[in-house]
Amino acid sequence: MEMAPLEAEGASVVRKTGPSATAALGAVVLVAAALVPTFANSYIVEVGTTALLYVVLCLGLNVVVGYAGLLDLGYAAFFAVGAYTTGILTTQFGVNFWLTLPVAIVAAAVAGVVIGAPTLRLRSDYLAIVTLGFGEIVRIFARNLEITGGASGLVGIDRPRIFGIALTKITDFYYLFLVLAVATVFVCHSISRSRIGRAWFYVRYDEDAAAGIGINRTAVKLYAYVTGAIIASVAGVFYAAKMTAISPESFTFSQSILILLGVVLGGMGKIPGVILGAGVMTLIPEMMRGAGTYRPLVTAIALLLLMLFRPNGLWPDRRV
Amino acid sequence: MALLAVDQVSLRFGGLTVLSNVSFSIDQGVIHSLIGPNGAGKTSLFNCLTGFYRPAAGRIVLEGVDIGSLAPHKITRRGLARTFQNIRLFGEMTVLENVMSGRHCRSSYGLLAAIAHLPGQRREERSIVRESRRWLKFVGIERHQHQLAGNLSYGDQRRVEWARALASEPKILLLDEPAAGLNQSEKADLVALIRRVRDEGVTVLLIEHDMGLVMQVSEHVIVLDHGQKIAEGAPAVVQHDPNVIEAYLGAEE
Repeated sequence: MEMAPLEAEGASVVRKTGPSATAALGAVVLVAAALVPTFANSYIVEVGTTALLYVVLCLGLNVVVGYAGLLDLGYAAFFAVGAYTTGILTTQFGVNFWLTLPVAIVAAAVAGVVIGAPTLRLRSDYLAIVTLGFGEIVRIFARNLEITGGASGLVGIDRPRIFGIALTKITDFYYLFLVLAVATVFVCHSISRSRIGRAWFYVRYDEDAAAGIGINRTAVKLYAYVTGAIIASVAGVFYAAKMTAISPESFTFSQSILILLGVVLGGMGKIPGVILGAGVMTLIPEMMRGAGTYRPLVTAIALLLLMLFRPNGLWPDRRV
Repeated sequence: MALLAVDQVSLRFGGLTVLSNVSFSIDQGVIHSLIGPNGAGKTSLFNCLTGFYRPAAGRIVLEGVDIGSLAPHKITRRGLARTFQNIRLFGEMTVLENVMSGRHCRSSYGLLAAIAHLPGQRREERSIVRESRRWLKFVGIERHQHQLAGNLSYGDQRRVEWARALASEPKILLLDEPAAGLNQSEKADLVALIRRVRDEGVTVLLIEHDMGLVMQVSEHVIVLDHGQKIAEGAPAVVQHDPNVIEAYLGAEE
């Protein structure tokens, strides 16, 4: 099966299954998403905003799980790092919202290195356990420290202002998260086609062969882990701004599993698949509202059926 | 000075001694072979040279630097590349992507440059592709560059492994049984390819069981048996060494 030649030297050689078709589809989806608030009611815009938040979180976790093949069961911890950084700095130190963003990025990077550097030398199963523990530690700290507001959390988080106009309406946040999601897609796409992105694929496929060809596997895994941490943290910053109140209950183990579910459901390692997964994962529970108390059961059955018939996800990467 | 000096290297797995006090040196531009009966410790020695195993004793000195305790990726960066006995390609990636992995250690742009698409990053990316294509052409499988590596024939997969190793700009190329599974005409091509690699300035050390090929292509032969070096020298000399004959055929009563 001879593939089409590259359009230009240095162009994408990693993805070539109809990149132009995928890009066209992406543009259509983006335009449609941008038009949603013009006709939809506020409930739909609210659900859409949540879906976009999960798109960002799932894309971030996809870097760790999908690209680098590292099982992270405590991803919500980095989401919490971002949300609490903004929450603490704006409510207790009066810092401008936008200034909390770089602080949250640095905090997530530091946390990622501290957790990742010692554990990424281990095989994946151990990493899963350590990340699980880290997720719980962060949540329990948030629950018990004074500065994080304890179990009731933080309230009255500053709303961001753009050109002097405060973002308050749900539509404002819908567009804010849309921009964030597009930026995340751009970042993930760029990295996945770079030498680091390729190194993730090499290490995931055959760690020893990758090391034998000159790739520092620990460093490469750490890049993935920290990249994922920063993306979650940025999502947390904007989540805090949207909610204006955060509590430890938003950053539980089940939150981590929900994000992981979106990644696995959509198709690990493939951006359109992960976006689809995040969307489906947000929408299925909403659509099942009619089922009343049976909602979790119906949702679980729907997910089981999906896994049964699409075991590699809805839109998987060709390299499983 | 020797390009690579192996000095009194020993390797043990628990109570089992795999290599004991092995010493030899590799000279620039010479085709070397490492031979010996099954279980003599040849692949284990390769694994020591490339950092996959850490010798219990002894030194491995590449251009004056002891690489015996370095991690595999650092050794590759210093100029030692290898192929594997059982081919280890990234089967679900294209042939070109496989070879590009060899350029990783010769390129340096990071995450931020990749996100920002800086001119330096684009230049480096173009050079990764260009160099990878050059080595694919060198081993003669450029036409397969966009196929998945796993779909290639066995012989072509071996060539991808060569191109991938050569793309890392090695000073020494270690080939672990390059003729295994090849037919006679492919073996003739292999001899020519080994010589062309040498002519590129890359020193070759190969493990091989095919004695015809070893005698034909090598200029220096090192013989291992039970983890010890039992002979070393020109092919014609080693061939008639009584220790070597004994190791392969058993002693006369």
